[in-house]
Amino acid sequence: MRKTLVMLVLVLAAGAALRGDDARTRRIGEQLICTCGCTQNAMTCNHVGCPVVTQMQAEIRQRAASTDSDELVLQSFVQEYGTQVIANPTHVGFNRIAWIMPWVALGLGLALVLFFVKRWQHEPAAAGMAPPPTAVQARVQADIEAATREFLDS
Amino acid sequence: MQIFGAYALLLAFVLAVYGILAGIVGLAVGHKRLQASAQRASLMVFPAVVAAVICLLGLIFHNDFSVAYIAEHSNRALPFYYKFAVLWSGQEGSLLFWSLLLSGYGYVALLTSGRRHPHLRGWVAIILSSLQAFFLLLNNFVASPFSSLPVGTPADGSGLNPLLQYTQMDIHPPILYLGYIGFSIPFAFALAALIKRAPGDRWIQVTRLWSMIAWGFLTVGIVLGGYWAYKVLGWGGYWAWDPVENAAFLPWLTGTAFLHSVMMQEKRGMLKVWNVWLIFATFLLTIFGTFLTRSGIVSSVHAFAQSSIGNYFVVFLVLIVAVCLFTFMRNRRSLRSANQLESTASRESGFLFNNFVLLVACFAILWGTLFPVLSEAIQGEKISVGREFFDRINIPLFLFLIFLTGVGPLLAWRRTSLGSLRRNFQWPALFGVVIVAVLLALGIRDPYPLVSFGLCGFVAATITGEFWRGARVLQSRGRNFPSAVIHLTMRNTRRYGGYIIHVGIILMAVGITGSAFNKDVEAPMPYGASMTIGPYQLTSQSYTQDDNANFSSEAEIIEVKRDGRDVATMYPSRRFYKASNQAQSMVAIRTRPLEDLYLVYAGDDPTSQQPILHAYLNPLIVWIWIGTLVVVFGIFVALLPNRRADATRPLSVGETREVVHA
Repeated sequence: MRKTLVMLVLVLAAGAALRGDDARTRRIGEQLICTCGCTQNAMTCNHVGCPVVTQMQAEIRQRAASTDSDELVLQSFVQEYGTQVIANPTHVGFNRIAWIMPWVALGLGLALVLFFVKRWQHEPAAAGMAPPPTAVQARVQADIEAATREFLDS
Repeated sequence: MQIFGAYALLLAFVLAVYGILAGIVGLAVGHKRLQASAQRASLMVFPAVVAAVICLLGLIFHNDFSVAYIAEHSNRALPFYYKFAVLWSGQEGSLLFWSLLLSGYGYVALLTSGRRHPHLRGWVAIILSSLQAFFLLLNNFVASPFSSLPVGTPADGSGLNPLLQYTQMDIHPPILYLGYIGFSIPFAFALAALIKRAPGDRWIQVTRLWSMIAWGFLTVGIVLGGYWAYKVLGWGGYWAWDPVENAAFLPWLTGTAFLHSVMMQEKRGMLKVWNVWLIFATFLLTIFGTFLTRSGIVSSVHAFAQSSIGNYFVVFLVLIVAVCLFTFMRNRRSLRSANQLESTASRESGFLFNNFVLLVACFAILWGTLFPVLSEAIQGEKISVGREFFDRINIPLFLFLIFLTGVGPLLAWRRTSLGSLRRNFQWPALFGVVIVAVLLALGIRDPYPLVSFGLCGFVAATITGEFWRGARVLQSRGRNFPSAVIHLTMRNTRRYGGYIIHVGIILMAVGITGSAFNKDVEAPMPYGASMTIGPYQLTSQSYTQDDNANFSSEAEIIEVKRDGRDVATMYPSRRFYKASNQAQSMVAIRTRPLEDLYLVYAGDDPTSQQPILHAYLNPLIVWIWIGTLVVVFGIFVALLPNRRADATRPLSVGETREVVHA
C-alpha cells in the first residue's frame, strides 16, 4: 500500500513536472504557434505525429523557467523560428494595421449604412406607392401590419 | 477503364466548350436550333462526367495502382466504405468530384428552373458551361485523375490519409462541396438576368431558392467539418480559424447576408444592385476558397499540397470579376431600385444592419486570413494571425448579430410604432435580463458569456412570442395549440422556417458560448493512476490492443466516476496505419446535455515512457450539433410551398382586435 502511494506521488509529481505548467509558461505558450503548418497554439497543438511541437514545448518550458522577461523569451523564439512563430500580429509598426483595419471597416460600414438610411428616408415614393402616412395613420398601419398582415399572411 | 474514363472527361470538356460557343453564336444570330443544341450539350456534360467518375471508382475498387492517383491515395486493406473517400482525398480526384457536382447541379437547374425561365435559360446554360469548362480543363490537362505512374505498378498503394478514415469524412466533403458549388446556380441566374436586363421580380425567386439550398449544404458542411475536427484531430475544439475553415465561412457570411437582403427586393423592390453583387461576391468567395485550399499560399492542415494549379484559379477569378464588372457597368440601369425608407425603426433598417455586420465580419476574417500573405509581400516576413485576433474582432460582431436576430422579427415592414416596439420588446428583454441575473448569481462574471446567454434568451423569447401570438389567433378559430402552430408554420413556411433556422442558430450560439468555460488537464496515466477534471474522477484501469490489415491500435481503458459514482468506461486509443506509416488518436467522448468529457490518449511521454492522457471538459458543446439539426429542419420548412389559408372570410372586429393586441 505504501509502495503504491509512493508510486502514485512520484507519478503525479512527474506529471506536474511534465505538464503542470505554471502561469508564465502558459502565458508565453499562448503567444506562440506550432510551426508545422497546423496554425494551432504551441501549447495545445497535440495532433499526433507533429514533428515540431514536442521540441517547441520543451523549449517553452525551459525558457519560461529562466529569469529573462516575456519579451526576451518571445524574441528568442522569433530568432529561432522566424516571425511567424508569434501567434498574433504585434501592436507595433506595420503589424498594427492588422488590428486597425477591421475597425476601420466597421466605422466606414456603419457610416455608409447610416448615410443610406438617412438618404432613403428622404427619397420620394416610387410611382404607384402610397404617400407617407400621417402620424396617426402610421401607428394604426404599423399595428395592423405588425399583427394581421404578418401573422396571417399566406 | 482508365482510357474510357479519360475519354469521357475529354468528351465532357468538348461538350462544355461546344455549349459555350454554340450558345453564344446561337443567341447572337437568333438561331433557335443552335441554341437548343448548345443547351443539350450543356446538359450532356453531366452524364459524361458521371461516366468518368464511375470509371475512377471502378479503378479504385479494383486496386489498380498503375493509376498514379490511386497509388497515392488508396491501398488494398482500405475498407470499402472509405474507398469512396479516395475520390475526393487528393487534388485530381476532388477536382473531378467538383466537376461531377457542378454538372449535376447544372443538369437539375436547367431542367427545372431553366424551363420556368426560358428567357434566361440560354445564358444560364452558357454561364454554367463556362464554369464546367474551366474545371474540366483542369481535369483533362492539368490534374488528370487517370494519369498512369511513370514507372511500374506498386504491389500496394500509399493508403488514404488516416485523418480521412472516419465516417464523417465520407459525408463532410460532399456536403461542403454541394454548398460551395451550389452557389454557381444563383450566380448563373443572377448574371444571366443582368445580361438580359431582366426585371428583378422573377429571377430573384429562383436565385433565392438555389441560394437557400446551397446555404443549407454549406452550413451543414461547415459544421460537419467542425464535428470531424472535434472527433478526429484530438485538440478538444472544433474551430481554429484555420485559413481553410475561414475560406468556407466567408461565402457563408455573404450568402447569409443575401438571404436576408433578398427579402428587401422581394417585398419593397429595394437593394437590387446590392443583391446582385452579394451573389457575385458569394460565388467569387467559393472560388477564392478553392484557390486558397489548392494553391498553398496559406499554411493549413486542410490544404492540398502546394502546386501551380493556384495560377489557373487566379486567372479564372480575374475573368469572372471582369465579366461581372463589364456586365454590371453595361446593364446597371436595369437594376434601378425603389429605395425608400419610411422609418429607421423598420424591418428594412434591421436587414441593412444585419448585412452590414455580416459583411464587416466577412471582411475582418478575409483580412486576417490574408494578412500573413500581405505582410510577407510588403515587409518580407510572414506574420501569423491566430485565434486571439479573430476572437477579438468577431465576438462583438456576432453578439450584435444575435441581438439583430431578436430585433428583426419585432420590426414591421415600412414603420414600427413605439407602442408596438415596447409591447413586443418588454417580455423578451426581461427574459434576457433574468438569464443574466441568474448567471451572475451562479458566479459567472466574464462579460462575453453573460451577454451572449442573455441575448440568446432574448432571441429565443422573441421567436417563441412570434409563434405564440400567431398560434393564439388561430386558436381563437377553434384549433388546439399544437395544430395552430403547425398550421401557422405551413401557411407561411418561409417566415416560420426562417424562425426555426434562427432557433437553430441560437442553440449553436449557446454551444459556442460554452467554450468560454472549457477546462483541460493533461497528465501521465499509467495503470492505476487517477486524475480529476471538473466533477469527474478518471482512473486508468487497463490497456487493450488490436491488429488488423489496415491498422494496429492500442487503447487505454479509463474508468470514469462522477462525484464518486461510476458513470462510464471510456476507451481513448491510438491507431497506427500500416500503409501510410502514420499514427492517429481516436478520441473517446462522453456527451451529455451540459458537457462533453473528451479524452485523448496522447501517446507515451518520450522521457518517462508513460502514457499521457489529455482530458477536456467542454460545456454545452452538444448544442452546436443539435442546433445544426434544427437549422436543417428549418431549411426544409422554408423550402416547402405555403399551404393555402382555410378561411377566406374576413376577420371579425373581435378577431382583428385580438390580432392587433396580441
